[in-house]
Amino acid sequence: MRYGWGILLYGVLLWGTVQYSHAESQEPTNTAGDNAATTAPSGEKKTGIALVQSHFERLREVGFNYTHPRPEEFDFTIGNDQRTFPAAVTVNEESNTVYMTAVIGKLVADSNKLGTISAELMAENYAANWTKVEWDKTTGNVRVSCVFIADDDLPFDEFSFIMDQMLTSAIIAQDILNKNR
Amino acid sequence: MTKLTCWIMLFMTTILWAVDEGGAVIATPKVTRGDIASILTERQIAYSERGDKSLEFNVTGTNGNYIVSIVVDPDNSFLYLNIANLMVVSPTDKKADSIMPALMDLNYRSGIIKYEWNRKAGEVRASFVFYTKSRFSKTAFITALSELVESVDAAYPSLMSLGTSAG
Repeated sequence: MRYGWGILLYGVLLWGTVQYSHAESQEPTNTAGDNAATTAPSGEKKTGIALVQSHFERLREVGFNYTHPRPEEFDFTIGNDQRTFPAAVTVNEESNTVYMTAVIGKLVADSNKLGTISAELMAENYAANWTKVEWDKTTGNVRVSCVFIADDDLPFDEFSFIMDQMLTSAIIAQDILNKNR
Repeated sequence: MTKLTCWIMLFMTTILWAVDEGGAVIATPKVTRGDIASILTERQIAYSERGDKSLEFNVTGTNGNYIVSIVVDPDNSFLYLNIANLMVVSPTDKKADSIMPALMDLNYRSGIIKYEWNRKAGEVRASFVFYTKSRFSKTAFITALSELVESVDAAYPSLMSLGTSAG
């Protein structure tokens, strides 16, 4: 009996510690360091728009500029030393989708190289894992796009990874447009 | 008695820490083919395995029958959902000049689904890719799967008419 209370106290503390650690380990995606910005300090999940804005704010800290003309739209530019592309992110909170697009040029419907260029861009769609090249025949705009289904989260590392992929695809697709002019 | 109690406490602490460390692994999983197979089984979808990485199943839509393929690549952190062999367009086929712009425009209108062309085989397919490095949502997976089938089924009649009327 001399050690009874001590053992009991030890048991309770041990049980409490394990329960706390276990609950933390079950948090679905916020254990990785890169994902910390996607969840408010209170632990409450942010909505799609707030989440995307937090990513852009994080990028602004390293010199990346963007504008926020409408609640669901973020405009920015992707590029390198040689060229830039106007880009936008559009958030649809009803369908939990986040669209990222970048306009890379024009392709008019009566171009005599329409078939050749389209074929090359469709082949690029097969080669590219993460992005899609698409053509709006009404406006002639050719753009690169990527979509996230962000029903539970949209980690920053995924967001920035796709931005990089968008730039790579935009450069390849614009080269295809330019070489056929 | 005191020594024995201390040893028991030390033993229990070690065991419980070890168990808890094992649990933490669950928080950053790699999505495996087994995980996807479980989701399909839950939804009573009969699938078959193809090679080391793929699962396939048949879907009957309003406008056609399709084979949905899911390639699971845990090492490169992606899932590739696709419906292959929608049509075959040879690069030397004169119809390609009118089919390819139509497919590019379809890409503009098809939301999350991408239409792509394997120039070597001439094969046209529809696809969606998941990045699974930092998360995996079962709901998003089911949404993408449904979108893939619905998009292809809606586009199928016009795809077929392209193949026969173009050129």
